[in-house]
Amino acid sequence: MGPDTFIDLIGVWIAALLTLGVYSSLIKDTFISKLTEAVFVGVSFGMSIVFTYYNGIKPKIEEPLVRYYQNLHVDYATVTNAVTESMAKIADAETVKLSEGDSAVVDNIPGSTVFDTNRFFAVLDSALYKQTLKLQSTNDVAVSLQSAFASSEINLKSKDAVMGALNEYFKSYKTVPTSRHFWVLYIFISVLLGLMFITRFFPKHAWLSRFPMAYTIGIGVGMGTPLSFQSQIMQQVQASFIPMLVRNSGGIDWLATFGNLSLVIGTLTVLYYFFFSFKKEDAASRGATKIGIAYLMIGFGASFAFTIMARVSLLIGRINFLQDEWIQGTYEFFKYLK
Amino acid sequence: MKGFLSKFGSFWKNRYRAIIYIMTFAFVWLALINKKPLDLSVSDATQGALDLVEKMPENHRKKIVEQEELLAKLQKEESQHSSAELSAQIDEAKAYLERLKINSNGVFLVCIDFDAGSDAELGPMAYSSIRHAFSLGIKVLINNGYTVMAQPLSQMIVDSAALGGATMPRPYGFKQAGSDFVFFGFRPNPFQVYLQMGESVLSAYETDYSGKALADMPIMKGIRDIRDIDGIAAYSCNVGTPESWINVAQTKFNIPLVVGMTAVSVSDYFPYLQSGQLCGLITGLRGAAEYEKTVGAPPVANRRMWAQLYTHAFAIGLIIVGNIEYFIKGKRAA
Repeated sequence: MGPDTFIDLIGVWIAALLTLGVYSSLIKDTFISKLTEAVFVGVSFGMSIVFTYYNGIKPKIEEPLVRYYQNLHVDYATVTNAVTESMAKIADAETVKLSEGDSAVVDNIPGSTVFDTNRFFAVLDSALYKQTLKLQSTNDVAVSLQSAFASSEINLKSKDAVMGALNEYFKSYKTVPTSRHFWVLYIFISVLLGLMFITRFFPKHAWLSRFPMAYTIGIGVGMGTPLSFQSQIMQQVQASFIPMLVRNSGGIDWLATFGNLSLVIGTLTVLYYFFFSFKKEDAASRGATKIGIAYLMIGFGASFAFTIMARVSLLIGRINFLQDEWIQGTYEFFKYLK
Repeated sequence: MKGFLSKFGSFWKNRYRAIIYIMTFAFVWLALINKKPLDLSVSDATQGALDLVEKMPENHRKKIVEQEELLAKLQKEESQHSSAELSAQIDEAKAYLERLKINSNGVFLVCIDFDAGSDAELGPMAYSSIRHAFSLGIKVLINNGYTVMAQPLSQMIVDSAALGGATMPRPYGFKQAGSDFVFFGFRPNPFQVYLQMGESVLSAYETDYSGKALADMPIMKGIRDIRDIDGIAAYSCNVGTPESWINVAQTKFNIPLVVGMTAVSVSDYFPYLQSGQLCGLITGLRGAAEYEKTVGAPPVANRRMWAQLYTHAFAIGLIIVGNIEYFIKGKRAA
């Protein structure tokens, strides 16, 4: 799986050099290793902020607020006229390109057209909800719509479909139900609670951060506790009630019996080991404690082995990348160019 | 001899770390040159995960038959004594049956909750299970849990399973986004999102990752809430995050659940397997290799198992040497 384009090749080389930069810290802490660490932390953090904005803040806060505000101030007659006029012009024109998926379907069924209503709505939204657009100006709206449709490659061949969708769009566009006002209030309260977290940076007002903290913990505990109690305590306790002697059609299943016995002994002795309310001086107590320690050691050993497996897997992944995509990929890329 | 040992001792003392690093790198590199897949037996834990997907179409058809029987029973009851409550139950049963018939081979939700750091282990298992589901005609939903950085990686995994390529050939036709699968992306507060999916998937995720509205997608016509999903696989690199799925999917809605973890975290999840709360548990690279070998996926994890084998042998050798040294030093000190 090597690089296909020159841009890919540059990406692979950057990734390979950064990988080597990180591994250089095994020899000694150098400027390169520090730089790669800083790049890693910076890129991860920067990207997670961007993703959180696009998946959380934008769809849940920014877009509803912008839409709400614009719906309050829009001159619907102006927008309707501009949209209808510009749509009629576009639908008549032959310059509109088809997207790849649409043309494939159109080719298969002669005379038919495919109309992507959602995409059409999205293009209308992006054209009408621009922060800088004056929705009262017919000309501005028409220009914005025409440029949005020209660059969208949306299939506008069917005039009926376009006009039908436009009517559907305006049905929801014109409506600002009362619940919308409450929704905006809810958004403001949520944002306010979120902003209160930032008061942690100002010691004088840090007490304000306790409110969102209490809210978050309260919600988490309220929703999580009943389910966690059920799944992590009740069902686990239930699963430890097992028969000490397992029978099958041929008599006693010795292997299963041994497994169940060791599970019960292990559970009891490990619990006993962590029981510190009295001194464990008699032989039986010390014996039980030793068995508990043995079980713990076996458990830690298994965890340690799994840890080695996981860490080695990461190393294998990187060396696999260096070998297949960097060295072999670069060789094959230039071989193909020749 | 004594002089040689003392010289070797001082050489080793000063450079043992570098030597061990170089040898580990060398073992991994040499092992990766070997392209032959390692012959592995499939563990019960991985078999459980395989069975969930393998039996999904059959179980889904059973669900349809059961629902038809329930509907017939309710209609018979209504013919004897009708009531508003019974009518509502019939309407609900009819709507559910209709949804079941739309995605007739079942719906499988794959939660990709890891970033590039754990891709070496978890990437092959997520790819193999999506591919396995595609090969059986199962519809696949993909979402991200707690790891926001999982999004671009998930898109790559989904694309390679749906579209394939020269190095990742697939035994089925191209899979279409919106009809055969949908990638929801990441939403903040996953636990609340999972709970919301119990009410309505469309209210939890209004659009897919690329911003297209889900409501008009053909695949979503057969999915109203989490009960319309036949099985869930949660692949995670973080201890504690699959518990959200155990609490919501398994405990609250009783949906079969499989967990795939990195090897370092997997031991925490064996109690859930033993108690029957999980149908299967895929354990690190080894589990991924077992899965891909069984479903006939390209041997990505399997090829890496040679390196695991060599480095484990090397680690065991180091432990033995370390213990011998400890006992010799202990004797000297005594």
